Amino acid sequence: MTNLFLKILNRSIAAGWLILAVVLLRFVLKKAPKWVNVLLWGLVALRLALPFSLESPFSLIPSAETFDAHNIQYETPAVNSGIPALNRAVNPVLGEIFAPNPAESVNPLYVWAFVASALWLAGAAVMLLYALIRYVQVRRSTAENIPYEGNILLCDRVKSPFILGLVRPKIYLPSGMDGDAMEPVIAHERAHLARHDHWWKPLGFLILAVHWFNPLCWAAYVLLCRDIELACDEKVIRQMDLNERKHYSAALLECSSGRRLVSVCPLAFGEVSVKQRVKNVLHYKKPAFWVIVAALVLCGAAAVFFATNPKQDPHSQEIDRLRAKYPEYFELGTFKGLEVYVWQMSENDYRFGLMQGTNREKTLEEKLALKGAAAEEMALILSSFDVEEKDIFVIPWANPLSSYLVPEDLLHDPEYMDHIRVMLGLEGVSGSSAGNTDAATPAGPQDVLGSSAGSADAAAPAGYQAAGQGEHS
Amino acid sequence: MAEIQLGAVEARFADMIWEKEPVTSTELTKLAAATFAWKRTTTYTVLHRLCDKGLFQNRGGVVTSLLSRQEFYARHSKKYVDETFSGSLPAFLAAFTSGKKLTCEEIAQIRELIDRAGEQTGDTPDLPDMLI
Repeated sequence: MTNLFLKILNRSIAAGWLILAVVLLRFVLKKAPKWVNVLLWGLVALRLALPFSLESPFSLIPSAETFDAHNIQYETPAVNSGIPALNRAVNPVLGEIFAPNPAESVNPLYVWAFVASALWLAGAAVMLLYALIRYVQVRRSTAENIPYEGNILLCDRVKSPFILGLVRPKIYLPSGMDGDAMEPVIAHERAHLARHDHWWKPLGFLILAVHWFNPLCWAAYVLLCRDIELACDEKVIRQMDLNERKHYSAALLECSSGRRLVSVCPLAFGEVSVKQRVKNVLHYKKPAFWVIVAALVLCGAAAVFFATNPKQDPHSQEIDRLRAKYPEYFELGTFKGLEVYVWQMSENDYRFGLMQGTNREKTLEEKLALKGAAAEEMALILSSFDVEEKDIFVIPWANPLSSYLVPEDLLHDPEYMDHIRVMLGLEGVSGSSAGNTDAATPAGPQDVLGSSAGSADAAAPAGYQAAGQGEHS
Repeated sequence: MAEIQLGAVEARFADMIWEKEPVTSTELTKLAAATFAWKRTTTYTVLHRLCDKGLFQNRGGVVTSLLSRQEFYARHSKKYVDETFSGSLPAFLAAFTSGKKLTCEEIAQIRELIDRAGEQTGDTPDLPDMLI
């Protein structure tokens, strides 16, 4: 259940960006017909409801997976909000407060996540229960009805006209309603049915019940209801002249009931802000063709930019594998940079270890405890950190366990350092290396090492060849 | 005297009872099902409410009225005249007949009523059916 909740949380956050975009777009589309707005909310609904989504290079969303279930459960918790500044601000704090305790099998943050998911389930259940109770109440009070015409019924206990029912929807009118208002009201409710609004609103509420924790979703639902009413009004008055529209507005005023902010089933006539609807009705002008086209183009743009996920790192699968192989190289804080320790076990065998940057020198025991990773493994590991290249320090050292002796002065040679950096896909820091990060044909150390160091063009030294090929298949 | 208010739906149902009374409640549910497509529970609910309002009574499964249809609407008419014309019947008649001429039949009926009222001592006459 916790994993499901995290997935839903991620989707909610990603969809939040789309909702913001739609809210802005509604301002731009003031002159466009209101059914375009409803279409946009449909897009939001798809984004929130469907368990899959498309990736595109045009996505403007920062991140589609802010919380990673595996990370929260087993590793130093970190969020991937897609906004580096936010990551840098939040993650060290998270890492400290919720530092994993090796004695426990799961992180303390995971326990909190479990509690959160239980709360989420409870909230969703409350909302669904509320909807069910309201539905039963309404059904009961509308049981006493007399037929009027077709699927229209009259009721004593009904305060304002509305629609009830999914499959065979019925229109309920108050029995005491003014005869003059009957015609426009019936036209309005019939338009609702033609647009299938009696499906969209409950569907919207269902999605809201799942995403109840996201205030943007509430805003979206309220605006959806408003746009549905306006679009319905427009459908009715499309063919009307000014006089008929005045008559329609009068009926609107007649039937405006007390404002209920959120309702599930009944599509009431006077529910949404009456003032706005009357304004819309009286000022309605048939929109020009090009306006509709422009609006639809903007919708498409919103879909591409905000309804798709950002392209995932192609190396992410390998990074996951490395995460399992060298977990200690992934839990590091980068606020003081990273230190890459490199030693040679033989002529072409370079090994790499990673430690958090600190002000002090690392002890020999710490260095000996490092697991030796291959160059391209370390390169990938480094790429997973959100740290600038200048904060990555390469520190060559002579490993006493190695049979290969690296001369002391070479260890401190900047060209040797550059050669190593290039192996790791980093820019050289000294002037002599021309900063080739693509191919690693290092200048300098060739004659010193005696071997063709060119063979180390970001490819694994001989010992790791087989493993390397397997990785980069 | 507290007036009994009926909504349009209740009024239709009450008319049905007045028309068919005395009628068993079971028969009533069948009628309501046929006319309005009401479930048994709905019919009983409305019936119960109308009995509570003092219009009908359900004794041993048989429904009879405590107030006749005429009496019921008479009370409403009286209340209307009281509220709108301060109880003045001539004022009401003047307003009712303004803009439309009375037929000979109507004039004869009214004359007869006035004569009858004059004969009675003290009681205010009930409004005739035609004014309901």
